[in-house]
Parts: sequence; C-alpha cells; structure tokens
Amino acid sequence: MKPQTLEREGASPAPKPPRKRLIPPPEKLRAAGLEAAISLLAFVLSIVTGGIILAILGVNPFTAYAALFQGALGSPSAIGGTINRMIPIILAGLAVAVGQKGSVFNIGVEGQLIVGGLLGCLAGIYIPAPAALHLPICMLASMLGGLLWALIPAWLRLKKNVGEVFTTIMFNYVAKFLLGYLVVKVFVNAGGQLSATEKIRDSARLPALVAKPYNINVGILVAVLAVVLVAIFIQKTRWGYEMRATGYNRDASSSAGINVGRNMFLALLLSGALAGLGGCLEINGTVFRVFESYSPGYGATGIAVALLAKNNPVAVLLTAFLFGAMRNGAALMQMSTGVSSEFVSIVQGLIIIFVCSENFIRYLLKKAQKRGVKYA
Amino acid sequence: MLDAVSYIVLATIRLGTPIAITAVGATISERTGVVNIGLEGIMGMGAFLAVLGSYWTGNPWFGVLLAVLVGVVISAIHGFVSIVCGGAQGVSSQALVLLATGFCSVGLQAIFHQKGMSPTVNTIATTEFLRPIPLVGNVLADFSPIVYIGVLLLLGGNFLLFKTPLGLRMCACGEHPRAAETAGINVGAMRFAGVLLSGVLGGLAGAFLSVGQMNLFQEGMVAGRGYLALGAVIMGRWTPTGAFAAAMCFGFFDAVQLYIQIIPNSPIPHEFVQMIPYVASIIVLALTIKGATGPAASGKPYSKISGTR
Repeated sequence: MKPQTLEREGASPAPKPPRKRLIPPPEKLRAAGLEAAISLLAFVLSIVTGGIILAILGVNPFTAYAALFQGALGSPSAIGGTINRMIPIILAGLAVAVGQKGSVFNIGVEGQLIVGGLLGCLAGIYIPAPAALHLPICMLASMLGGLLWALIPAWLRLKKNVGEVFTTIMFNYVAKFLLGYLVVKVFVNAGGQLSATEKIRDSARLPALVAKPYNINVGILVAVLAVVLVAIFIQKTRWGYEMRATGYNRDASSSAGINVGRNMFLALLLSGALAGLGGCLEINGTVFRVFESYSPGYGATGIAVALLAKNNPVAVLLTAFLFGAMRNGAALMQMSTGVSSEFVSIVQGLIIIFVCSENFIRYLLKKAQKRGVKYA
Repeated sequence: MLDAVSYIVLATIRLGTPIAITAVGATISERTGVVNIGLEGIMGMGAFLAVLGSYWTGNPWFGVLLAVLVGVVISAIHGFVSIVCGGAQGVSSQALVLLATGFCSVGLQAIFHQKGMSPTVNTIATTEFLRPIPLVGNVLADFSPIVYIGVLLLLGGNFLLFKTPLGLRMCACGEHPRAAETAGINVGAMRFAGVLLSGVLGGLAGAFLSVGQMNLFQEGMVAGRGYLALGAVIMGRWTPTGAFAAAMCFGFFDAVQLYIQIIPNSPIPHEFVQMIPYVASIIVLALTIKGATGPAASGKPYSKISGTR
C-alpha cells in the first residue's frame, strides 16, 4: 500500500530549478539518465510482450502495431486527436503523481474525473455567463467536483484511518452509477433518445489552438500550465516540501513536526481537484456533453502514466503523450485488425509491472558492473 | 415476508461466496506480508478462463482448473515484482487489474469474436449428490459445489495459519521479516506461498462467478468484488474466519440490492440500489475499523536486491 519504495531509490524526482543553475550536477544527471533509461526499457519490453500476447491470440502483431501507429500519428487529424487525448491523461497522471508525492495512492482518480467532468459540463449547460468567464467557471466547478469526491475518502483517512485505496475504489463504482443515473434520468437532452446531457453552450467550449485538420484545442495549454504550477508547488513551496517529506518518510516527517495526516489529506484533495479538471477539459474541449462511460478508464491510465514518469510532473507530459497516442491509435487498430482497443490496457499493465521491477534491472546492472571490475 | 427472507439468505450465500473465498486468500497473503489488490484482476481472469475451459472441453471442471492455474501465474507475476524486486505492492497489483481487463476484452474478441460477453457454456451450478438428503437436500443441492469448497478452504486456511508450523512461519514473515529470517525462515518463499495461495483462491472465486453462478463471462462481471474482499480482510481483523464473515456481510448487501431490484415498481432508481454494496461496505468498514491493526510488515517490501533487507 505504501509507495515509499518508489521514491527511496529514485534520486531525482525533481524538475530542475529554473534559474539558479541551468545544468544540474553530473551525478544527478546520470541518475536521471538511468531513470529515463529504465522507463524506456520498460516501455520497449511492454510493447514486445504485448506483441507476443497478440501473436498467441492469433493476430499479426506487426499489422496491429502498424495500425496503432497509423491511428495515432499517421495523419494531421490523428496527431490532433492524440494531442486532445493527452489532455485528460496528463491531468489524471498529474493527479496520481501528486498523491504519490504525498504518500497517498489515489486509485479514485477515475471517479473524481467523472464527477468533476459532470459538474463542469452542467456549469457549461446551465450557467449563462459571458465567454470570458464561462470557461473559468466550468473549470472551477469541475475542480470542486473532483475535490468533493475525494473529500470523504480523505476525511475517513484522516479521522478514522480507513485506507484511501479501498475507499477511493468504492467511490469509483458509486460515481459510475451516479453518472448513469444522472445522464439517463435527470439531465437528459431534449430529444431524450441519447443517454446523454445536452451539449454545452458555445461560450463554455475550449477554442481551437491549431485549426483543422489538426483541430487541437486550448486544453493542452491549460494542462501544461497545470503541470508547471504543480511542479512549482511541489518543488518551491513550503506546503509542497512538507508533502514531499511526508511521501519520503512518514515517521521522520512526523518527528520533524510535520503534520502527516493533514498533508495526506491535502494531497488527496489536490489530487482529486486535478482529476476533476481533467474531466472538464475532456468534456469542454472534445465531447461537449456527458454520457455514460465517457471516460475510457483515464484513471487507470493515470496510474501507469505517473508511474512511468516516476511521479515527476514534467515527465508526466511525455508519458501522457505515449498513452494518448496509444489510446487514440487503438480505435483504428480495432477497426482494421479486429483487436479490441482494450489491448492498450494490457500494455499499460505490462508497463507498470516492468517499471515496478526496476530494482531487478538495477540489480542486474550492478552485478554486471561488479563482474566487469573483477575481470578488469 | 418469508419469501423475502429466504431469497435474501440464499442470495447472500451465493453472492458472498466469491468474495469470501477471495478474502480467505487475501488474508493468507497479507499475513505473509504481501497486499494483493490485484485480486480483482485475478478474479476476472479466473472467470474468463473458466468459461474458456468449459467452452473448449465441455467440462466446467476443466475450466475451474484453468482458472486456478491462471490465478497462480498472475499472482506469480505480482510475487516476482513485490517480493523479489521489492516493488511497490499496491501499484504492482493494480497492474494485474489492468492486465486482466485488457486480456479478457481482447480475448473475447479474438476467441469468441464477440464483444462484452461470451457464449453460454456448461456450468457447475448444482451439487446433485446432496439432493437425497431429507428436508434440506433440495436447498443444499441448488448451490454450486464451489460454495462447499469455499467452506472447506476457510477451515483449511484457518488450520494452516493458526495450527501448523508453516502457518506460524508465514505469519512471522508478515510481522517481522528480519526476525523471521534470523530464525532461519526463508521469507521470500513464505511470501511467495502466501501470494500464490491468494491467486489460487482468487482464480477459483472467479470461476465461481462465471461457471458456478452464471453460464457465461461478461466484461466487468467482477464489479469490485476483489476489492471488497480486501475490505473484508480488514474488517475480519486478518483472520480467515473474520474475513469470511465480513465477506458474507458484503454478500448480504449485494443480496439486498438484488432483492430491491426485483421488487416491481420500486420507488428507488436502480442505479442507487446498485450503489448499496459499495456504500455500505465503506460505512461498515469505517464503523468497525477502530483498533484494527494488520500484520506489522504487511505491504512493506523485504528484498535483497532492492536494499530493503
């Protein structure tokens, strides 16, 4: 349950201080390089293993991967789709990473994202507001929604010591049923044939950043801004410092006078708010309405994204791109080769497994090094 | 009224059993020091493979065997990552869930060329040899044999953990692995045994969901039961009996949920009714958790190569 081991070894979860020193010291760079190499190796191994699984199931892995790549980056609209897909994934990954920094394993990102997206969407439909204000209102509403959905698990963790892993998972299921109820029975669109809400007002839609055929919306800028803010918060503020300290070692932080319980509480709330914003950007940027199961498991993807990025907010951008590309390409793969787009989940699971066994890779490397010394 | 009571009692046993079997396995695993959140995924894989085995051979028991085997294989992955490599247990076992959901969905389309659910297969829904028993025979025979296997597993798990030297050693690894190792116990092997056992039981529970209770595999049919089993472990204070009872309690909420759904013209929307097991489990856990302390080293890695030993 405790993700400390992830942190203990990794010497550099830090985005580098921007002004004081442009190039970090060489040993830090080397450590960061090793981290990156391990993540890359894990990714390659997962792709290969995924291919083997495809072959066992009787699908040609090369055609499947080719279709995946084609669907992800093969045309301007595919690239645009990948970038748009990235947006909620960045936020979900960021949410998980922030939680992990504060020693909280938030599996509830899925539910928080769903509820946040729903509130953002409702604000987009029912609140008449001038264009300049409407989007910020939606985003605030969604962050509030995500935060509220994390509030009870966080409170139970703080006051009753009920593990957040269990409660946030249960809240995911509750969120799914709640969403199902609301879009079928309460906020139904006028025609009523679709199990979906009305479309949001034009003023609440994220404008295009790059015009068609790419059709990338401004959400990507918001996501990048969120990454930067979170990185600064974690690295440069007192609260962020306390949160990180809690993540590294709860006992030591507690004896140093840091309120561990409160920090975990805040980490979970912040994580929830980020997840909620992710839902809003997906709705107000791409889909424009909420329907049942509008999230294809962004929460679970967020776990893989954060893990592969070693909980480093800036690295989340890179890993989110990988997963966005996979999710986006999977649709074409399903159409042309008949492999379920859920194949992406297999690759995600494999990535997590390989990253978690990083110590084994390190061990092998160390062994190889020692042997080199012996024979030299 | 009597109808309602008997319906709920029978449904509680049916719905509680898969959670209870998994919870017994999870208890053993956590006692040795490894938390296995991946049981949700292991159940899913078990359910899928059970249908597959039954589909291929026409014999559902072969499916159960496959389910148990796949449980062992997948939990071995978790064991390797968390025991040998000292990786984060919660995160690694979450990978199993992803792996399993992906595999079942891809497998459904690749093997059955169907989306969402499999074709129907032969099942083991009844235990016919119990039918001749007077008075209760018909009731008892209407349960799948896996229900009775579950009870045996509970007794076996209790015996293993608390009555055998092996069980004592396993528990020692979950309390203080270093002390255990000093006493000459192979901590890695004990923990592996715990995880693999949880895989066996998780796979069996999954098989019960698909060929014991229904006659097909459906995506998302596990619906959080693997997670509920982990809650049951906490509520049952890390003993097989307690976990089993807590799981039956969750099964009861599920049964109530099912019963309310079949009431005609129920005023409560079915989505809210379906939330009952999840919400109730949180409430019950929050109410009963006071003073619950698990095995001291549960969830903590103890591995040579990661430097945590």
